[in-house]
Amino acid sequence: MRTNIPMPDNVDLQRRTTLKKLSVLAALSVSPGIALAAVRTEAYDDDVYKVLLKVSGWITGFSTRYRDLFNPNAMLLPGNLSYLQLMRDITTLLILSDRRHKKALLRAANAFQQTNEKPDDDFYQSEAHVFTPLLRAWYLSQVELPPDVLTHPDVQRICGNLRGHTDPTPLLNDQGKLIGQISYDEALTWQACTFTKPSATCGGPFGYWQDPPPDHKAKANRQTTAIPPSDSKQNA
Amino acid sequence: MIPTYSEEILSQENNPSEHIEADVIIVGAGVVGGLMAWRLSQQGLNVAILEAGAEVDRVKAIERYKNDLQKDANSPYTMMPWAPIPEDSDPLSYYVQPKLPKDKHAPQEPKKQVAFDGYFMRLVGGTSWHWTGHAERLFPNDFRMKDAYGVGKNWPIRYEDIEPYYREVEDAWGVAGGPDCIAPSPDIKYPMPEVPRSYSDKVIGNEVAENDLGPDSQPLPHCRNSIPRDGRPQCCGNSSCLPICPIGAKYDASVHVEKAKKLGTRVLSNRVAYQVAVDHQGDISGIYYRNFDADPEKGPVGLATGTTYILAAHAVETARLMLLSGGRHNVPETGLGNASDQVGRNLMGFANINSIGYTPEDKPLYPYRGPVSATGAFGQWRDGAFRKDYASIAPFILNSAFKFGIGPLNQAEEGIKQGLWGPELLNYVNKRTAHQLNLHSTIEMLPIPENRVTLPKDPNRSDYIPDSIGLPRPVVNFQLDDYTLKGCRKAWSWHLKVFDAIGVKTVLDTPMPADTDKNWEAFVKGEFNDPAKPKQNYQLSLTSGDAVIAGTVCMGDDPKTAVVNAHCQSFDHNNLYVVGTANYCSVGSASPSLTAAALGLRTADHIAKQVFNRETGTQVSEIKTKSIQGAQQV
Repeated sequence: MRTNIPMPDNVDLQRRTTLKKLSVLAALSVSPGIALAAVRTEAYDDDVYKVLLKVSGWITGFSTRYRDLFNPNAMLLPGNLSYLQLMRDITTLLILSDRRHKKALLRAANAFQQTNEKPDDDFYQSEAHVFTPLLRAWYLSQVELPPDVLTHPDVQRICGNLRGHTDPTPLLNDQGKLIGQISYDEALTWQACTFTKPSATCGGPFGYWQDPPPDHKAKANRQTTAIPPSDSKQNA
Repeated sequence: MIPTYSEEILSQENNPSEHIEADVIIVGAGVVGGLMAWRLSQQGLNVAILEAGAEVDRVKAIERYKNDLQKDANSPYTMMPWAPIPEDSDPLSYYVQPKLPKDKHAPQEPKKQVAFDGYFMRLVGGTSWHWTGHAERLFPNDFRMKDAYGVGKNWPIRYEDIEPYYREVEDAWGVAGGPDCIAPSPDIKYPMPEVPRSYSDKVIGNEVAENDLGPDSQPLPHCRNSIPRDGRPQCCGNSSCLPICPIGAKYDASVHVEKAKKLGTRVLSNRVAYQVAVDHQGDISGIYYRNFDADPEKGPVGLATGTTYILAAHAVETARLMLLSGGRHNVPETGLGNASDQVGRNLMGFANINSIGYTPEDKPLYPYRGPVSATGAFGQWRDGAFRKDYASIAPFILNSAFKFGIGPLNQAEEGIKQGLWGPELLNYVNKRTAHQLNLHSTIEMLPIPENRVTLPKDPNRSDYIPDSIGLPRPVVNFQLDDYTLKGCRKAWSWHLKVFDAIGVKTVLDTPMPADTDKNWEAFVKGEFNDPAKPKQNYQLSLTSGDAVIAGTVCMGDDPKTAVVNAHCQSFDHNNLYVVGTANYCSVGSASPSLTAAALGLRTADHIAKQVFNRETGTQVSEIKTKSIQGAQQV
C-alpha cells in the first residue's frame, strides 16, 4: 500500500490556543502592576478571619460534628489551601458581592466573641442577610456577584469558572448575577455527605460502591434526627 | 466565518489548498470510525480520518468540568465553532424542529411531535467521551422483529452473523461482565470480571423481588476496567464517567484512534466534510472539506481522495452529509446514495420515563458512588412475546440520582433556601442526598419513515437555518407511536408500583401520583414536570432522544427500501460504506454502541477483502488516485 505520503502537522487548535493563553499569562505575571498575585486585597486582620472561621463552623453545623475542620490552625487542605485561606477568599467575594457585608461580617465576628462563642438563634437571625450567602459559599463554594466585578483581579484569581472571561452577559443567571465558584472540590457539601465525594475524584478501591458506606451500620443503629419537612425552620 | 456556499469557498474546489490521499478515507473519528481505522491499518491499508472537531486533552477537560457550574454532559469539552452540536440545555440550538409548539409550556403531544433530545459530540473520540460505558449486545430477536413479532423491520443479518464480531469488540474494548449480566446468553465469555451492582441496585432490586414486581436487578456488561488492562487502570469509582472518566478506566474511542495512529492512520482534526463527489462511473471520487485547522476563520477547502470511502459521522451528521452532497459533483439532487429515498428516514432514539423521589428514612441508597450511569438494571422487558404488543423496556437505577456532579450541591442549596442552618442543615444535606432515587426506563422505538432528518435546499424557506459555516442545520420530524407509548405506560405504571412498595415520596415530599388514566395523560402532557405548576412539579417526565440516535441510513437486502447492504455498502456507489448506529433497523432498549462497533469491524474485514481481491496479482501500492497540482500533500 502507499506509505510514502508525509505525515501531516497534527498540532490541533486546542493545543495551539492553550499555548497562546499560557504565553499571555506568562507575560502578565512578569508585568509590574498587573501581576495577579499582587492584587490580592485583605479586608481584615488575621485574627478577624480566625473568628469568622469559627462563626462559619457554627452556622454550617460543622463545629459540633467535625471540631477540627474549622479550627484555624488544625486543618490543611490539598494544595496547601487551609480553611483559613478559603475564609479569606469567601470574605473577599462576599464583600465584592455587597459592600455592606464588610461591616456585617466584622459585626458578626465581634458579637460572636461576646457570646463566648456560644451564640443563640437570635444571633443567626440578626445577621441572616450575610449568613445566608456565607452558608452558600461554604456548602456550594459559590458566591453570587454583580456583573461589574467580573474582571476584578480578586474574582479572576479566586473563581476558576470566571477566569479569562470579560463579557458577563452570557454568564448571568436568571437574577442577572454572576456565580463565582471558589473550588468545586472544597464545597462543604462533600464533607456533609459522608458517603460520597466530589465527582471526578477517586472514590476508593474497585467495587466500593456495592456496599453501604462504612458508617451506615453505626448510623442505622443510632437514633438519628428525622428528615425535616420541607417547610421546617431552624429552632435554636 | 465565510459561508461554505459562497463563491469564495466553492471556487476553491478547483484548486484545494490541501490534498489528502489514502486507500481509505473515513469521515468521523468516533467509536466506529476509530475502530475501523485501527482494523484497516492493521491489515496494511493506508487510512486517513477527517474529523470535524478537535482533539481532547483529558486533563484540561477535567478542569473545565470542575469549573462548569451546570455539570452537563458536554461540560468538559470545547466544541469548535465550525462543528456545532445540540447543546445540553437546548437541543434546538442545533436541531430545527418546526412542528414543535412555539410555546415551550404547551402540553406535550408526543404522537404529533416530541422534542428530539438526541445528543452527540463532534470531537476526536466522538460521543464516546461522555457515554455511559455500557457494552450491551442486542438480542437475537432484535434482528428479526418483523419475523418474530410482526412489527418493525428485519435486519439483513442475523445475530449469528455478528456474534463473532461482538466477541472481538468485547475483547478490543475490554468488557467486564459475567453470567448474571443482562445479555442474550449467560454463556458469553467476557474478558474481565463483572462490575458489581451498586448498593442502591441491590436495595431496590431486593424490594422489587420481595414485592413480586419482577426479578432482582442484574449487573450490566461494562466497558470499564474491572482489572488493569490494555494499559488502562482499574475503575476506582470517580463517579463522573458521564461525562468523563478522569483516569481512562472507561473505554472511549480515543483508545483505538491512538492505536490506529500508531499503525499509520492519519487523524486530521478540525476538517469539516461538506461535499462528497461522484465520478461518471458512479463511484465516489473525493470528499471536499473545510480545513479550519489551517485557518480557523477562512477554513480553506481541502480534498480527500482514496479508493474506498467510509462515512462514520454519527446518525445525524452522516445523513446530513449525504443530503448536503445532493445536486453537485454528479450527486443526484436527492442526495448521495439516496435512490431509495431512505437517507435520513427511520430516525430512532429511545423514549424515556424519568422518575425521581426520596426513599423512606430506613432505606438510604447512598447514590453518587461508583459508575454514575447505572451499574445494574432490570431485565424482564428486554425481549419476549410482549413485543408483539408493546416496546422493549430497560429500567435501571441511576447512581447519579437527581443530577450527576451537582445533585448534592442542589440539595444543600434547597436546604439553605428553606432557612436551615447549623447541625440541622448538615443533617438535612447528608440524609436527603442519601435518600435520592432515580428510576429511569428507556423504551424502544420502531423505525418509522416519517421520523426523519431532512435538509432544506432553499435558503428562503423558514426552516433553512444555517450553522456557523453556512450549512443548513438538520430539520427533524419526530413522534412516538402507540407501540412505544404503550411501552412507556407499562414502564410508568411499574415505576409507580415500585415507588409505592418502597414508600418513595415525590421531591415535594408528597405521595406519588396514583396510576390512573387521568394522571398518565397529565404525565404525558408534562404537567408533572412544569415549574409553572409548583404544587405538582414532581420532576416526573416523558422525554425522547437521549443517548441513542439511529436508523437514518438503514441496512437491508432491497435497494428500493434500504440505503446500504448487509456489509454497510451503498447500493448506489460501490466504493462507499456508511457505518454506525445509522444502519440500525431496530434499537431494542439497550445501549447501542457495541453493535455499531461490531458492524464496523465486520465491514472493515469486508473492505479489506474487497481491496485484496481486487488487487490480486498486482501490488496494491500501485493503485493510483487522482493527484491535484498545487495542492499540499498530507
